[in-house]
Amino acid sequence: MPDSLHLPVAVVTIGQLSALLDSMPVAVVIIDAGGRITSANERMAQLFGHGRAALRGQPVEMLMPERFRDSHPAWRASFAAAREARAMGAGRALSALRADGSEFPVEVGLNPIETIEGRFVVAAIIDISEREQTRRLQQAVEALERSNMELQRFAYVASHDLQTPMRTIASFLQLLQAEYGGKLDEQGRGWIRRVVSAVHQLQRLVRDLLDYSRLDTAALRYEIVSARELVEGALQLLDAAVTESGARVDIGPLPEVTGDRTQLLQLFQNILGNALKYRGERPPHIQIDASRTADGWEFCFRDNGIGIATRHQERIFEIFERLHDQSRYSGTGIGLAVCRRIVEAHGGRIGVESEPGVGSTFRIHLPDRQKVSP
Amino acid sequence: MNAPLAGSRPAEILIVEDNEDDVELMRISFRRSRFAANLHHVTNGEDCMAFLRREGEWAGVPRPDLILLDLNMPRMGGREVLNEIVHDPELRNIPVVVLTTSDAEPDVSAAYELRCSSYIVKPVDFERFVKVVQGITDYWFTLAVLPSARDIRG
Repeated sequence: MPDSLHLPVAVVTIGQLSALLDSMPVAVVIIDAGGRITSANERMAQLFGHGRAALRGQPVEMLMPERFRDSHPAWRASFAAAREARAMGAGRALSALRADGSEFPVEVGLNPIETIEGRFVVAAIIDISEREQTRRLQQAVEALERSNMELQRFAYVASHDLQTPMRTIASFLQLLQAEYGGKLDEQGRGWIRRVVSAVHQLQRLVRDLLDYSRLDTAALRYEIVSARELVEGALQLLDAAVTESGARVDIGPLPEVTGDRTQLLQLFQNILGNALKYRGERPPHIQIDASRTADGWEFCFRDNGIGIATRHQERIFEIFERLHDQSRYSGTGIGLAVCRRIVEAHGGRIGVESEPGVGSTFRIHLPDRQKVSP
Repeated sequence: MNAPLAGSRPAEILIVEDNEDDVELMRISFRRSRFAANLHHVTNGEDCMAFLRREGEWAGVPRPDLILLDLNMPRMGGREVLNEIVHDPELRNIPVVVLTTSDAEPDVSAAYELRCSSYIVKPVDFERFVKVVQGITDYWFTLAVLPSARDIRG
């Protein structure tokens, strides 16, 4: 805060001062010792919606909402006594009133000035509506980011901590079965088997939840990767299922893309794993192609499996959503949710076209990306 | 379990673990494996250090041949224990096997940086626990050589 300034004695008239302020892109109004508007520049008129002539001679209080008017003269008086340049109402949210009755947030800078005609105050007024809106948006974004991070941490901590009591349940059930199973009748043994089975399912769910919640927190490492190498790698990991099902896989020419190697491998593995798992009567036939789009590559994974009815085609990408019970097809329903998360993290899109009894085509769009991670 | 032979001794293993159920699973697993070991148990890091330094109620305890250490414990967690052991010239040649729930990369990394001898994620059920314990005893008392190897029969 600058020291008290001696009032500059301007060797100007109000007329000259007004002319100078006229051209400024900031709304400026000159106020006399009695709080009346002596002159206002063009920008003032634009900002407030009053004609310049209409403003002249009016109390400056007309520029503010009614609820502030009573206390303002006292502020003016104290400012006049202090006689130093300052920002008005520093730290307070100031409101201004337009001719049409609407209010808007402003910042006001005040300058006392001594002219030939006497003491006046020059007030510069800045409309900060846009700034306010940006600030609010930013706060909202920050709140969402915090909330998101908290949720992820919660999911991670919850699933991590759940593993300990689950281990107790699974282990001592096994021990019960082994050591005391003989003392129970078939019904009792059957009940224990049900519980053991449920606990294993619980463990799978928690483990998948853990993996899912960890996806975002692992920062993406972008590098140039060969999609063909990744697809072949995924098939390698699924080798047992490929052999067992007698699957035939046709891989068309595939490009290099920029993405996180580990996550893209997981993505392909999940899609291909599903194609193998959800097969019908005939051996799986999977076709993998890629085609260029305006801003990236579209990968197509076609299978001849059991297909997905139209009404389910959105749901399957939700976490833990399944269309079949455990006895027919095992799994927790997280595979496609993970796929969607990975694709979206890369800025891409994933969707499916399908016909029950015929097969499904999963389309994954990955946008081009210039920068690789250091 | 075979009767101890003259001139040889069971292995002394210190289990640092706050979850009673996991301790019980370890005891049962060791029994199953028929590996002759005296299992000692403390529930937190402070007691672990007191045991190793033979302080207070642990005045006459034997020096462990191997420490099985959980990371999540109240009142001085596993990482701090590792840190203290590694900086103590008297204690730092005792192998420490971290046996814990977390498989998160930062935890694994940090433990190895503090020179743990190995890091094992606790298995999900009893059958696997038995295999883990078998693996630990096979490795540490049959394959690898310990600084305190003299006399252990296992």
